[in-house]
Amino acid sequence: MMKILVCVRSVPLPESSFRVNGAGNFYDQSELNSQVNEYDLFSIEEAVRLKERFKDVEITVVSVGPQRVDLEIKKALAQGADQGARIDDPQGLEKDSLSVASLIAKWASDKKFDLIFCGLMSQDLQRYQTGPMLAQLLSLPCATTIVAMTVSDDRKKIICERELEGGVREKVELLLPALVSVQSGINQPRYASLSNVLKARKIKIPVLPPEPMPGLKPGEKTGRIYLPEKRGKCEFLQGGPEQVAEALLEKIRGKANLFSER
Amino acid sequence: MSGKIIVIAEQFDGKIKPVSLELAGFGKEISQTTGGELIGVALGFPALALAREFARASGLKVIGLEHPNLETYNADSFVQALSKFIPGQNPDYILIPHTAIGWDFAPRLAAALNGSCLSVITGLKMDGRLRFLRPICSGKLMAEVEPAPDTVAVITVNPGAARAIKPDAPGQAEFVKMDLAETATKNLGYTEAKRGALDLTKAEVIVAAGRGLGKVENLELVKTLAGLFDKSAIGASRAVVDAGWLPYEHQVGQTGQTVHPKLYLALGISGAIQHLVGMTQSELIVAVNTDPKAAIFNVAHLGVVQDLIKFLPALIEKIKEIK
Ligand SMILES: Cc1cc2nc3c(=O)[nH]c(=O)nc-3n(C[C@H](O)[C@H](O)[C@H](O)COP(=O)(O)OP(=O)(O)OC[C@H]3O[C@@H](n4cnc5c(N)ncnc54)[C@H](O)[C@@H]3O)c2cc1C
Ligand SMILES: Nc1ncnc2c1ncn2[C@@H]1O[C@H](COP(=O)(O)O)[C@@H](O)[C@H]1O
Repeated sequence: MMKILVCVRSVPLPESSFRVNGAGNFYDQSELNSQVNEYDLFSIEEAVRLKERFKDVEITVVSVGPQRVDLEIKKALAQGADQGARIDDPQGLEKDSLSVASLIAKWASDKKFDLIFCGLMSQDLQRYQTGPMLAQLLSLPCATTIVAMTVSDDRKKIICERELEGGVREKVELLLPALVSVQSGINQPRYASLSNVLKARKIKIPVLPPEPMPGLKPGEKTGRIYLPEKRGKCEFLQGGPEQVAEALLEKIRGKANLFSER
Repeated sequence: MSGKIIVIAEQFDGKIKPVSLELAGFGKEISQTTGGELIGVALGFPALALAREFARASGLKVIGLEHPNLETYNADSFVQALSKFIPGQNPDYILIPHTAIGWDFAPRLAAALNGSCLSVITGLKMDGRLRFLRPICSGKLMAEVEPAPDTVAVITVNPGAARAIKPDAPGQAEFVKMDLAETATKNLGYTEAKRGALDLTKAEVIVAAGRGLGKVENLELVKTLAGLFDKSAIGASRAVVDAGWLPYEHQVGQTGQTVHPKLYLALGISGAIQHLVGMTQSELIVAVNTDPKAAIFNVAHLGVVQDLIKFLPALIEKIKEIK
């Protein structure tokens, strides 16, 4: 049996209108609709493909956060994961990566997962930290930014392609157990089938107490969150499509001779 | 804590990458407020030549860390070497480029040193104490982050966050041989993506397609529009390339091409930092997006809050009228 863990984060829809909370140290989370972090969808898809290939594979999804993140765990189950677990930390979504990794590491340390997936980054906090930290805390080899992967037939190792800058790819081999963090483009996640959605609804999600790894100091602290300053002043063109199109053409015509004479 | 700032250079194929000099520039900004000493580090095999190159280009004193396992990048070996070397230096700040290599080992190093990791840093602020800036929520918000008290800060600095350092004179270089154990990670080498024929840097007008187009069929509108401009090319966000709507050679951004056309039309592109680093040098940036809060409007000169599906046909008609 191959045991796979997928770490899933609940994030607000990126098109949300974000406001700063009263304390000024996070975005206001009330009234935001949530989704599974996009990068974690790629992880789940990759895990499900391994299950299709090797059959005796068990996929567990874990998420750290308040009760409402059960919604995203259910979505992950509907994508094809077998079971879920929620580490019940009301502050789980605001906490620094080291603290989140510490909670997952402590819980996972005796579960003997063969392969752990994280997303390259969370869409809301964009830290790129949690995966590699979790690997370090569990003393696992790790590769980030993977855009292709192959587990060997004997399931003893995994060969990953990491995407570097400028179209260069690095091939790296990790002995299992290992952790990988997934970059977009590795696959096209499937839509959940109706039968899977119904099945997922019935699965009970165990609620686990938040226990950190012993002896770890806290990590990064967020002081203040605010709206970014604009670099230049953006002039917004107002009116209906035709009016705006006309106004826009006036502006860009003055800039340079841009129109083809054909 | 000694106030010391360690700048870890990135190398590829035995050459120091330019991003390392920006990193040193960022280090200098920190030291100008804290007064801390700046020291460069380069990992490799052999290490002395690398250390010399970085010392010459940056003006910093540079220490090379040498071991055969460091010849090409290997996360485990990097973390091993640095967690042996760093404690003796007792720095306050460790700077690493926010690149696919940097973000691969920096968080692990921070965990190994029980320090704080501050990632994707695009700037700093000094008001009583140093704070570091990271764009979050697709660039719609900024976060000010800082290390936990009395911990070393491992900071990944975003490319473009600082100017390259200008050395007054070359720095001193030395190297130490490291004693490293075998690892469960093996670097199997590098491959280069096939370069497409498309060179976006030659275009004067780039009409760039984003996920906001909704579906691949709507690309036709983008193609028609681009066809109406002289010396134009079609650009794309990564989301569009990932979805298979356009091949990789169209991608603009951190993992695509860096462009600076006279006119950049961002159509249904949200303005994620990884896209922005590839196009903010454009002379005139026009953004069309239904979301007035989209981060693309923070860099755009002209903003159009419209549904592309209605707006693009109107724009195409108007251009045809003038011609
Ligand atoms: C390591 C790394 C490297 C990356 N490299 C790159 C890179 O090189 N280039 C790159 O682009 N990205 C890159 N990304 C991805 C980046 O973070 C974003 O995910 C990506 O840029 C989003 O593309 P998008 O703006 O097209 O899509 P989205 O973020 O989904 O934005 C779509 C936009 O369209 C708008 N919209 C929706 N419907 C309409 C409509 N009808 N009319 C008008 N507007 C509409 C929405 O309001 C939204 O703002 C990278 C990410 C990582 C982690
Ligand atoms: N609260 C969380 N619960 C579970 N996994 C998480 C959580 N936060 C982050 N992760 C994982 O870490 C990845 C990277 O997140 P980040 O370090 O925040 O950019 C995500 O894609 C998830 O896989």
